[in-house]
Amino acid sequence: MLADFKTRRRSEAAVTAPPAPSTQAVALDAPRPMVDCWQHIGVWGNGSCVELKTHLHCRNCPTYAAAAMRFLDARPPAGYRREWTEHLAETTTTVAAGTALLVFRIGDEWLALGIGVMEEVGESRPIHSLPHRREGVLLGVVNVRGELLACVSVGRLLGIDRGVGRGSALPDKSSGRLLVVRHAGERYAFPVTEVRGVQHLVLPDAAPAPAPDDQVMGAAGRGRVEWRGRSVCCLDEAKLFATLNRSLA
Amino acid sequence: MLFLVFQVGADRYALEAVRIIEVLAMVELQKIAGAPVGTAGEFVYRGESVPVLDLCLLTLGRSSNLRLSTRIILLRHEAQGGGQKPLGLIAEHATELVTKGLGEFTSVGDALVASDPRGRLRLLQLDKLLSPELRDLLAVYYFTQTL
Repeated sequence: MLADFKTRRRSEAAVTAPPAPSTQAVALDAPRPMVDCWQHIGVWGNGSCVELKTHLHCRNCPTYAAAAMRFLDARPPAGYRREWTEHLAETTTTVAAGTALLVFRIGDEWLALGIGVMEEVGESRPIHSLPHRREGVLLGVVNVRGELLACVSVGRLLGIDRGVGRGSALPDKSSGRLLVVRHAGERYAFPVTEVRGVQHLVLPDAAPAPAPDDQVMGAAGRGRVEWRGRSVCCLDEAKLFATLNRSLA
Repeated sequence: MLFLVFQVGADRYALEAVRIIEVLAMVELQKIAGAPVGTAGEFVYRGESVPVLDLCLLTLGRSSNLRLSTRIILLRHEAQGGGQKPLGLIAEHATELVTKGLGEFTSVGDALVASDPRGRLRLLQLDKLLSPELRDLLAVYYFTQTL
């Protein structure tokens, strides 16, 4: 059905006469006629294009990119300039205050870490365990875009035992995420139960002394912040990575 | 170093990305009364009036074509008497970014030119483009804002 449509469209294009020179001013309104080589000799055609040897796929080819750019040569739709004028004239009233932190959950504990060290939030994936390393903070290695990274358990590092590795409390969410962090040139991955995105939290200037039984704060905490009715422990990057390096050594 | 590439007519130009605040869509501009040739008008950006120059008008003597790819480059302009002020430049085909070293631009006559797979790339030297009348206009414009 689709192939049918494609051939019909192509044959229609083939029989359409080139526009007369007098209609050129009108033709400016529409995008210029497209040379869709990818439909004929590219990957969606018969694949005979010699450029494919260099670029492997049409989407890597500068001709394909240039054709995409041609869409932007169209005239703006009605109301486009008006809308942008109004949008840009508005003063942004909600200036984000506080520190940008990624809020996530490990087990029952809500944690936040500065986005400066965050590299990626990905789907959880198989962790390949290492021989003679069954205990402790190092869980194994994970494959992140073809690179093997050390996968650590921040939960174990901070002494969060309850609910680690269990399914998420929210039924529709998939089971867990993998965070990739970078600090002082070292990259680590660690699994978390749930990620709640980047939030702007105002950290207290002078953190009160943590409660004696607050293990997480004692291990690598910077301060506790109330966020949507939950107590979020903001982690201190320097402390966290120092503790991590100590336990991996 | 990252450069924004755009066109003035058929010529391709590059502008250092660090000087750019934002690349904006074309907006409706209000004319500035008695403004010299090259001025396109002004618009309100986040509550502040910003003057806009048309690069095509400045160099080619015709207005920029109204296309989706014709955009306003909002940059930090070194105002007379110190301080940086926002200035808008209308440029055609402002759709590309390239990474180049400043050393790749060689002096050809009056211009700084670098070679590029798609042809010559000229570095935009705004100070050379501005006529004394335009300088005066910008100086007065920014001065009246501080009153």
